[in-house]
Amino acid sequence: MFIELHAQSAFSFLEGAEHPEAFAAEAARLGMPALALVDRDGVYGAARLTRAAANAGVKPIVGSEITLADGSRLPLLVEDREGYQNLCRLITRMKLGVPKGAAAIALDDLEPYTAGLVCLTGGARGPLALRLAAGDDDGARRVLDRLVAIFGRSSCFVEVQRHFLREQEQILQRLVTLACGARVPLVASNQPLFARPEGRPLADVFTCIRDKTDLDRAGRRLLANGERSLKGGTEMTELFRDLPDALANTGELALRLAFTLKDLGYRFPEFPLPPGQTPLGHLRELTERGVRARYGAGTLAARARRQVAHELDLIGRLDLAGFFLIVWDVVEHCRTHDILVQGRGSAANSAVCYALGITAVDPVGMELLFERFLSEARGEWPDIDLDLPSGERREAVIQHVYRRYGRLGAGMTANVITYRGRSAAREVGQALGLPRDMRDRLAQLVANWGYQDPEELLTKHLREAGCDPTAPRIRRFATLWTRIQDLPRHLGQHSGGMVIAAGRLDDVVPLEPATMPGRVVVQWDKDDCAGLGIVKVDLLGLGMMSVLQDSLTLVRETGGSVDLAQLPPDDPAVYRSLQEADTIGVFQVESRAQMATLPRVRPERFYDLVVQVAIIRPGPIVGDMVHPYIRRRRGREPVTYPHPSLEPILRRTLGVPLFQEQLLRMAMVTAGFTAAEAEELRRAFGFKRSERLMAEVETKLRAGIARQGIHGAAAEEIVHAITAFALYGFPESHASSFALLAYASAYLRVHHPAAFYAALLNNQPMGFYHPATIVKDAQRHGLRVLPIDVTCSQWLCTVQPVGGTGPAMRLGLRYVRGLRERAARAVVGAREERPFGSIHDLARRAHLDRDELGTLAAIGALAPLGGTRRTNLWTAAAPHPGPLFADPPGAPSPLSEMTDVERLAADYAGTGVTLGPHPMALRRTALRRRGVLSARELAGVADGVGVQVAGSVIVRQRPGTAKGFVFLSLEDETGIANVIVTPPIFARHRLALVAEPYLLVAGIAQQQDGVVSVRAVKARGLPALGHHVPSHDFG
Amino acid sequence: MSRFGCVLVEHFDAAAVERCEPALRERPLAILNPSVDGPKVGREGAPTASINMIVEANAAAREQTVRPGMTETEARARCPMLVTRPWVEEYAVSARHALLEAALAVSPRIEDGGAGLAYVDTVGLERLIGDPASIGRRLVYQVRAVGLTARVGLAASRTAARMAAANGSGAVTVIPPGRERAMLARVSLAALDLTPDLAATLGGWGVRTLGELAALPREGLAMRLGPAGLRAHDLALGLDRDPFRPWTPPPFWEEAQGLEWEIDSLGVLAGVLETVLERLCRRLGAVALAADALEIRLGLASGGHHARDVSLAYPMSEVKPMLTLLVLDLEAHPPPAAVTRVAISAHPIRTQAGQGGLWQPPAPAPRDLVTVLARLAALVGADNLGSPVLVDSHRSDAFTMLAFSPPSGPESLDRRGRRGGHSPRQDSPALDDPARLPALPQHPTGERPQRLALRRIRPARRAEIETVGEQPVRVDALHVIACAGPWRASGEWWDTRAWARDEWDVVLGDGALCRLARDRLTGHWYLDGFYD
Repeated sequence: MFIELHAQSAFSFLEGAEHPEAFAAEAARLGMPALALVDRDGVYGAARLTRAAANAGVKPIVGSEITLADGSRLPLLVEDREGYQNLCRLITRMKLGVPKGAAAIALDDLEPYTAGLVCLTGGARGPLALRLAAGDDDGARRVLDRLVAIFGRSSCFVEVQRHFLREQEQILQRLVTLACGARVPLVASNQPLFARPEGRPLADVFTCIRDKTDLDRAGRRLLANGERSLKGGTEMTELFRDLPDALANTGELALRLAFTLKDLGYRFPEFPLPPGQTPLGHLRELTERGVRARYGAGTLAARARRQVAHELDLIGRLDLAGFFLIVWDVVEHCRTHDILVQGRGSAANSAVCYALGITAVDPVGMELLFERFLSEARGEWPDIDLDLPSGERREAVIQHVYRRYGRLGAGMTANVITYRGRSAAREVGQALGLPRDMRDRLAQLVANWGYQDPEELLTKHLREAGCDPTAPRIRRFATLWTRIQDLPRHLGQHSGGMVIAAGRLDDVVPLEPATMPGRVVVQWDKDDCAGLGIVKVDLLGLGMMSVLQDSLTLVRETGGSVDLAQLPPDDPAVYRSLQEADTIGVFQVESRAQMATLPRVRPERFYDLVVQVAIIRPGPIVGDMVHPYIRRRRGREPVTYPHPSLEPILRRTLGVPLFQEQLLRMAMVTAGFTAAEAEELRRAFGFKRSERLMAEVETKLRAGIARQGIHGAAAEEIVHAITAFALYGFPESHASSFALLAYASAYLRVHHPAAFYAALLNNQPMGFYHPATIVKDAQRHGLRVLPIDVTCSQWLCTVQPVGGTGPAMRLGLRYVRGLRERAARAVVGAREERPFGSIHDLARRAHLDRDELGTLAAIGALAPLGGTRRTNLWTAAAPHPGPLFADPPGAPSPLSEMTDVERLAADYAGTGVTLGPHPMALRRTALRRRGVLSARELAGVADGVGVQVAGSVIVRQRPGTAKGFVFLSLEDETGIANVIVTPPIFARHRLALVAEPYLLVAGIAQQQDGVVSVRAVKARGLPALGHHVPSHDFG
Repeated sequence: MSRFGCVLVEHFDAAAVERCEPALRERPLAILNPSVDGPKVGREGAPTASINMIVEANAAAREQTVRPGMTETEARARCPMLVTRPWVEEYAVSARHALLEAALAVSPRIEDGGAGLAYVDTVGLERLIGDPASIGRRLVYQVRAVGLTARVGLAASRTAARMAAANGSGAVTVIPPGRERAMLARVSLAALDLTPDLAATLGGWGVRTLGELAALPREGLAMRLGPAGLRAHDLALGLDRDPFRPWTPPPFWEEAQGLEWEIDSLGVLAGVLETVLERLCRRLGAVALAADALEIRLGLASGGHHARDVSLAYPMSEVKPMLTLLVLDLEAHPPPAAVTRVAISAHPIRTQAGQGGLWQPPAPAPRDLVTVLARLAALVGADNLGSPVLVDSHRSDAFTMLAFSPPSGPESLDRRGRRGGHSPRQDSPALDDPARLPALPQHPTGERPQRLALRRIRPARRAEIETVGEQPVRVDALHVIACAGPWRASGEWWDTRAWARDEWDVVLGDGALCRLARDRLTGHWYLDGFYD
């Protein structure tokens, strides 16, 4: 029997060319009962192999190939839990002491970590083979003796491989001699880098990417042949018929290597409790206090108490009280340090989380499904995501967790960076030696391949890119580009997932330094951690949380007060703005698609907003749920249900399933599924779907539905609704949390616009729109936006009171392009000492260079010091005298003053925004003569009328779900006009539509529920006026 | 009084192509510059398409908004009738020469202002030709005669003349004396070709025309923009500060001989060639030049021509080796008919005198070496001459030929005084590479075993092999006594030159130890070589 003990997956980054899952499947196909994954310097793929191997009926063996200080690599296999802990500690020690990516350890340093580990001597890069290849047989013997001394004779094996290579055979003979001499047993391996021989080209491509070369130049660095696939027992028996023991030893050794990741030994840290208190008791106490504060008394409070009791009972049974306490502790830390925090995701389904202040949505009042969050049968840690203001405040919370649980007790989860369209095109193209411009072109184009044509997709796209799809290299490109998709390239860190452990986390998983100082990353991603029962808390940075927090601060600074927890729930002005799609800058509902739907859904209460957040998602769109919902909401279609039993579940969404929770409940009601079975269904049809699993679950679903007595069309409708929707369905709890933020941002935008817009501009880039559009939106809403001024602007945008019209917003110096933050802060500091006497005084005291001074002059920021933009430009261009000299006598400026167009161009060039007229306003007279309507005028046009609109293109989108249709948003001085472009029109006017910053579009007005858009018939560019605003393209 | 004329041919690269294909004049034409990072030469299967950029467009194309810097795709989208041609250096160079020569026909003092631009000193031409407008018309006429369309400006300075040519309304624009500043004032600043930084600064100041620039105070400009600003100011005023650099036509290194009788024998032709070469070499020697390439052009009795380019491996001015090389080349590529005229032109270069190193072994005289190489090339073919160099490949028989070149100097000597580079006496590549040798068992005493050398058969010989399974058991008529293998290698799977082969080392019945190879793509067997 042969067991492969040295497989290397794509988690040996840029070396192996296969997913661990593919190895597991191939091992099962070959009838191999076990397989060891021995990736380079880590156990990155072990969790995925464990999951896949369990499904394939293959025993996964854990190991890693450790890089030694001499550059050789030593495969280590794990025998028991102690061995695993040693391996993790060893890798952590290697990695943490050196910069990211550079890890190696001396042979002698292995000694403390050998218990429970078995050592093989490796393949061509093993310490023996490397020495033998160099003719150093004595050195090889010494190393073998040393390995035997370190690991013990019973835990050391000389590894032999046969890939049909002359030099390898020569080394093999000498290895056999060495092993005999040292009385060390042999093991055979093939050290596969791919599951089947077809994987060889990709392994060669990885070699090129790793060595920064191309296939024509890589020479003998490429594989000599395609023999590095996973080989079965028959083939290996034939290869090693002269060394039968080497094969037999693999089977015996595999039996010995009993450790699997199920025996990880992970424990969650214990929360420090008051004396004499149990975790559950303490949690109960805190929860009861929270229920009193949140619900008070009444019917809802009674229901809430019942729900909390139910949840606490389950939490107690699952022994999760400590987990809730730790999350509560993080939230409390945020509260005491004035950091806005809100739980989201399925945690919003929990009344306990609501009572503890972890989440802000009332699950009892909203009848959310607790089982989506926590289920006894699932046996998993609950998923609690905390949204925090992005940036420094979130980092402060992360560092708090490190301090609390120790540097080796907590780590960020990894984020495996995989090859996707653009990076894959670039790197595969480079390896194939395609010219740079072609690579760029391909990379640029693949990013737009979101819309999938039905036939000859790749060939067509390649032809579009100017490539001949029949040329051999281009054909290879197509194959390799497809094959490389989703393979890991390197490890990054997850945006916020933190895992913590009792004791040392590096006993559970190796830790690595992150690129960001002060952080360590575990070698598994969040799914791996979840799969192995490692608890994770997501500390996610959300730009809108920063905007809200900054807005509150600005309101407070100007004497106002807003409490997000006490916002009036049904503010009419807020709902009016939502119904009118007046939502630029509002969380989650500002996109073009959301704006096109808002006037049709017409949200009137909070739950409508929850629906609105969830409805513009691929799931409802693909599942064709959007139009039925809107028709029913507008009363054009009766509300019906596939089966009467579904009415309580679907009533709130008018009979149309929109949320994951509804999906679970539908399965529970119509097919008699338990909560855990329903969750299993969701996962089977979820993002990482497997055909086999889907088929199994669907059969079970159909059987369950039949058992409930539902047959025929109703049964089919239910099955279709559940299976089609499961892929993208949005959780109701998640939508509720987001809707809360959407409401809060809309409220601040309506009632405290100066603070809101200032905070929004201070947190750019974020959201959907360019600052130029945000500024124009603010002005259209009557907010007075004050220009950048060196005598009063801060680094950030601020709110300042002005007489009569309410507070105004002052643009901050951060919007001056090319102005260093340090210089801007020096400007603020210097003027606080004493006002600036002149431009040269400013330059001297704030240490501004001539370019910075020139930009400030060009945008008018020096005007308060006297002079116009042009006179100040003339003055700023002159060398300023040193500190010992007086300013030169002010010679009059010979420059003419700026025109409106010049001011506009200078504003855009110097700040990216303008407070002056919109570029379209400057040509409105001419446009009006040609019958071109403004965005505001378009809103009153009847359906079917021929119109012309023009504007600056701020959004271009070609969603994958829109069958090739392109959507444009054109901004003018009155608002935004929406344009729909059909595929034939797009093909005809492609250049103008994609490249022109200003467009004139002629078409037919389409009016639907008050939403007017233009179906384009013709489009052409308008000459640009100076600088233009970058649009949000195809994002 | 006008002192200078400026002859301007707009969109010059397009004009150079139109000169060769006059039919294109009325059609929108764009000149393309294919990517420099293009497909590799000689690589089959390399990408056939690359992104073409527009480098120039004629007036008709510009009317359709085609501009340099666009991709060909974009240009075609704007102008579906667009005709494109690749940029050809020879066209541009010959058009530039033609323009200068046309200007030279009007005035003996001209300056090469760059592609499509020539300045003419017009002082004294009034007496010969007439008023400035007449001079301008003469220039236009001369330039048209060489196939180009020019605009001419005449003014007191070159800059003013250039601006007049570029911005005038007709083919000839004359700026009367003293009117330069007024005429230039309306011209756009972009006409000056300033650096991007300077142009951006002036743009920020609202300076859009030369008049606005000229109106700025000179001291203020100097303080703010330094010398670059002053130069721009001068140009805006129409003042030239740069000296006039007269252009003279390059010398003509060609000698020819017309024949009164037809020559159909190479031996006789060699005598004529020698006569012509002697004249040419005397001219070269007189100005201390040598030739590194010759072009021979034979007029034929049939009315045609026979032309050959002969590269000289080292620069020379001696008749004998030149003659030998020409004769050898003509032996290999004889003219198809009797010769009636002989012309030889040389590509001259200046040679640097040098001497051999003190410890340098005597080398053959370069002319002898070159002659020998030429003889060898004639015998075995140029592709089969040189020193073999291993290619970094898993393919065990992969090599390439590196052309011989004469020694370049003492620095190419290695420490043992041997010349660097590749020489025919170099060890066999197979012996230099342990990885290419067959595996041998370790000698029991631990001593380094004696190596086998492979005597490779080039090209490998097809062999009739009988196999059992994959293993060879009979080679031609001989039994295989023992064999090792297969040793498997494959490569270049990404290309049309993909290969895959198995090698076997076999001992035959007659005691020979040889290497067999099986092409896994065709299934053919080859006898690859014998081990010594």
